[in-house]
Amino acid sequence: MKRIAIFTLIVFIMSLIPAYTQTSVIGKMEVEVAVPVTAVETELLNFGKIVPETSGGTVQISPDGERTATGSITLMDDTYSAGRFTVAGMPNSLVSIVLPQTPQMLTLSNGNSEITVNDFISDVPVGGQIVRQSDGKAEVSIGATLYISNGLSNPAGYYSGTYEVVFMYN
Amino acid sequence: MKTYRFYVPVLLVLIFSSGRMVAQTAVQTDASVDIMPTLSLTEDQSLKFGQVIPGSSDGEVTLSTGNARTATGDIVLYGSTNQNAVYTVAGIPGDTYAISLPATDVTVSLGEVNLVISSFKALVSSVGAEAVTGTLDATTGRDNFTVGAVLELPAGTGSGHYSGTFSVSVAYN
Repeated sequence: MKRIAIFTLIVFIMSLIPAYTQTSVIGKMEVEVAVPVTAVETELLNFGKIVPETSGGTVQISPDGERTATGSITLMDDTYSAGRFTVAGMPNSLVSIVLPQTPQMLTLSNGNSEITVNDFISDVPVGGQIVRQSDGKAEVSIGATLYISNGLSNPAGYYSGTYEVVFMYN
Repeated sequence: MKTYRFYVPVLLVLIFSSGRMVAQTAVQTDASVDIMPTLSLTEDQSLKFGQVIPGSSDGEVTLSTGNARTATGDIVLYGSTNQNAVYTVAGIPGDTYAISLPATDVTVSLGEVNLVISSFKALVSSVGAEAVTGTLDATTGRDNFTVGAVLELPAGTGSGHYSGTFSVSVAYN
């Protein structure tokens, strides 16, 4: 009886061995699908009303909306503003900005004259603007410098143009 | 009376000798159990593709077994929270084992939206390259491997946290 019992035990143990030679685990996996950066222009970059006088000069709008002039330019009391954008992205992400690196042109409404705008500057710090944790938005302001010659070359009128701004995740 | 005394010692000897045979059999039983320790597999780290931004057309994000991400088209790879799945195998020192990764597509999901993950690969420490078999360390009886895969990311995939599971197995060769 003892022998039969031990033999049965051996067979039982051996039958367990194949079950131990393979083992599985269930692994976890995940991906975070994020939203692209979007931007909406909330205010135009507007140099306001100016008089170039005899020799012209420059008009600068800073990102915080300050307007200054050089040369013979007279700044008229008028509305002017920095360009403003509301940027939306992933909460707490960093968004950087690419501004025009070449002169952009403002064209007189009749198409006969142009004024150069250059030296675009933004208030986005080095390394990018932090998008708010709460709503995934950030406000960005853009300034630039307008280069105008005398009133002969640039007759009075309404000058307008466009510029391209690129927002992207860092 | 004399004949009676003669039989008793013979019977005792027979009982003792059969007792020794039983003891030897029991020792062999213990030895056969020690030869085959269990082969165990544990997940040390889960598989994470990190943050991705869908492109304008359907594309793929590949997470290599070396934790490098690449993407097709204009998919944007953001942040650095991606990581390979990492597993530890333990068993008979010096023995070889085979790895089974999902051969069919598996999915991560958010609500009713599923994203397909396929092309699982394992980088096996004992081999030093991508492989389907490994060798357990001669001293510790351990080895580990990292797993990468490919995520299909259609254009217009809604934002959010997609998660899922997949099965990994190891077996003695």
